[in-house]
Amino acid sequence: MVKVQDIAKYVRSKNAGPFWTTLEIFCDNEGAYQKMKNSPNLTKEKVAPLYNANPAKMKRFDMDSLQVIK
Amino acid sequence: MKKCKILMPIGGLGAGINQQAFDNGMAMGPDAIAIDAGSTDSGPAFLATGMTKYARGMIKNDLAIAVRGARSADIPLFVGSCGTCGTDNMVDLYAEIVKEVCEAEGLKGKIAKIYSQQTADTLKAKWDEGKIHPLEGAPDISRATFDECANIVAVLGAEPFIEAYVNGANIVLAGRSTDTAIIAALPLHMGCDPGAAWHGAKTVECGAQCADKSDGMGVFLVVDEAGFEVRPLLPDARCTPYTVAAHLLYENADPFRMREPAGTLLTGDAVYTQIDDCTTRVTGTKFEYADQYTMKLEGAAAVGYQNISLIGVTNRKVLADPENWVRNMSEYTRKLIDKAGIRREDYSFNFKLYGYNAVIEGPVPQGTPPPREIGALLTVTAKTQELATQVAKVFNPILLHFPADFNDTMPSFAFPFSPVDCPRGATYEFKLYHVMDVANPMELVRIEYSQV
Repeated sequence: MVKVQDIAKYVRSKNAGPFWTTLEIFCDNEGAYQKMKNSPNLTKEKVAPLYNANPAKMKRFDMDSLQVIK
Repeated sequence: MKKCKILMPIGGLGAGINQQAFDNGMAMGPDAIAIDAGSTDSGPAFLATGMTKYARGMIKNDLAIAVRGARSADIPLFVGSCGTCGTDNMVDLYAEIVKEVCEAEGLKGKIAKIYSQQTADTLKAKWDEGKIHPLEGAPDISRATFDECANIVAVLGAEPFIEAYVNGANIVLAGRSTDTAIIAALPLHMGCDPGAAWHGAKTVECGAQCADKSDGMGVFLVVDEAGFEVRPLLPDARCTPYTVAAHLLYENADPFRMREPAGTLLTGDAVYTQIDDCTTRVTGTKFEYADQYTMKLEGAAAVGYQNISLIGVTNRKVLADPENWVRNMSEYTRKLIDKAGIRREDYSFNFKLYGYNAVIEGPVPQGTPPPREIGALLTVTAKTQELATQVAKVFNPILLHFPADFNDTMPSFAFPFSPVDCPRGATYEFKLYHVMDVANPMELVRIEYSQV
């Protein structure tokens, strides 16, 4: 299985105020971005449990112009 | 065309302004210097105690550079969120430091102190009127929460900065402010496009984070009637459409809609263009004024006292299943704490296993090899410091010797200091993530002027 770290440019995480955490996957080519964007393993339902989070409280933004998934 | 140039010399006042970068920025002829001095990123302790996270000497170093620059060019200096948390006493502290600098260097000017700290009574009255609303992700609160908070600040928008400037202030020192209000105030006052002013401010609020290199610490912002331009202060750095657009993602929960006290910044249609080697221009951003002006509230309080102990472990058997060791040790020690006459409802404790799963909690993925060593951090929380420390002392001999297997010879773990337990004082929490409707931007804001 391809890992995020193998094809992402970088991944960063930060708090957004005291009650939110952000996680952003930056890609530097369209192939990697499309693979991330369409991966069945990067859905809210799959990612939320990795961070002990509730998928219903998670937001996801796919930023095509930047090739970033936030 | 109306134009406003802002020097943003550093992402956080007190982190150490780069004098060369600052001088480069001054040479670009700014209309104002704007600096953010606050953040909630370092946690609730600062707001709960009314303290800054920075050393006084570092604050003075940065304020001296900024005040010197502003007074010599006769341009206003806007500092927001004084003292990390922006409480009233922190505004006073910054005014005291500015006064020291001015007196030592013979500088003169008019200082405005903008206060936005709120009393529990004011907020309870607002609560009763139904004028306090939760933001998404806010904790549940009640009327009593306002009394529980040690300090509460309302987050300032651009208007109080503008008022202070219009009243002739040369140095504006404000309590808790939105990062962007500090920067957007003068461009808004000078008639620049509101979308460009707020988006430009959002872009530069962390200094050179929006450039491809952040070591220059600051950036230069030019806002006009149609858009804004941003460039770094040091020659080897660049602001590109990519770095500028990517910064918009930083530390916010929604990259397309950002709420300010006066309305919402809409960045979905923004267009980013490289206009020279190191400068990017942005147009197409909109600012939608809200019917109701709101101020965000931040409140924090102490919620108990803690004692921490750190031990180093290399024992192979412990490392083969560290969580099992923690479980057994916890169960064993709980019974001893009972013997010490301390009731279970009066304390709590947890272990964080650094090098194993302290940062990402829960089971480690299958197949993860045992770590070479771990640091086990025990945190005890109780209603009083004395009680937390007594619980930690019950743990002391256990932390030194608790084996993975009682059939083995007693192991000894590594204490990095003696005593190993450290009373660390109160522990704090943020209690509010709410907004408050106000009749106008100045309703709950006070401004005081003085001359140095």
